[in-house]
Amino acid sequence: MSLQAFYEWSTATWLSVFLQNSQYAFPLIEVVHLVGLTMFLGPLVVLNLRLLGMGLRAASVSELSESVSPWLWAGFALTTATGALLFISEAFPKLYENGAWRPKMFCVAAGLILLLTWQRRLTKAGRAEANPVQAKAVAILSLTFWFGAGVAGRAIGFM
Amino acid sequence: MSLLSMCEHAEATALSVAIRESTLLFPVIEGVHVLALALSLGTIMFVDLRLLGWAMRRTPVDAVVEQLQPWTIAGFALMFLSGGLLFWSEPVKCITTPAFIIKMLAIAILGLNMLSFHFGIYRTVAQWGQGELLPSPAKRAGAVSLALWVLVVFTGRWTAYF
Repeated sequence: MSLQAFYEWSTATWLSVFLQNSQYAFPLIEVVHLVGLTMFLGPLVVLNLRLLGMGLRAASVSELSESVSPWLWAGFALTTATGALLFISEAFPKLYENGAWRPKMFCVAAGLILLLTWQRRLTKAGRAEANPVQAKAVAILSLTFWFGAGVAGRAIGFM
Repeated sequence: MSLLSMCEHAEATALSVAIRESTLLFPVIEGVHVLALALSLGTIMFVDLRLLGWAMRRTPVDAVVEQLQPWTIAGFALMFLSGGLLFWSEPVKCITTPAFIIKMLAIAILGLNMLSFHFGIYRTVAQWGQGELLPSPAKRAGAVSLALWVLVVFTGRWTAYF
């Protein structure tokens, strides 16, 4: 199945049709998407500020990371689930042709890969403290990808 | 002068017209508004979670509050400024939208909640801030803040649909 066919198929499903025909479904889902985003970005920003050495130095990186993880992943799950519904409701032609959608997905993928690999390794006990330059580099990359995803996400609606 | 006529005056100013009619200005300001949310609300939410005992239990409350405060304030300043500009670009629409009125009420209550926390139970934080189980006024402040901020996000996004 080609990419375009997948987008077209998504928009033809009964769920998509239901969402398109409902007056309140889209705004409600989008609001929850935004709440999920805040729930995800909040802990992520706090963690990255700590990696930059610019906040919450009373706690070690590993302790902070452990503490933010459940909130971060709950926020991610909420954002992804609602994001999938938003995608289904307007995949074709809107998102397929939208100039901001693919950059957003690129940012999300890059941020996620970073979070699960390099960033995860650095949040193990003592690692970030032993490698402050790496910790800063990861934090800057992470903030760039996720804020990039936020900006591109908001831009979808304005295209 | 009534609130409505004040808003009509605001809407007729050059700044209001410029933001409203520019293709780039409004989205850029709104983008800043949404992203500053992560900074202000993200750090506030974290303090709330600490007060509720749902995160960072081993770090003293005053350490969490004080070290995140500069970011909360910076984020909030950015929110207030960008939000003010967004309001200025369409004040009449805003004050006649129920979601916006609820949002402003919620923010006012949040302000009072924050003040009563800081000038109330927080003054004795040295006595209870180390503990995992916090006094109920502190927990209540955290719960009110968390619930109302979610309402603010909700009604804020909802305002834009009208």
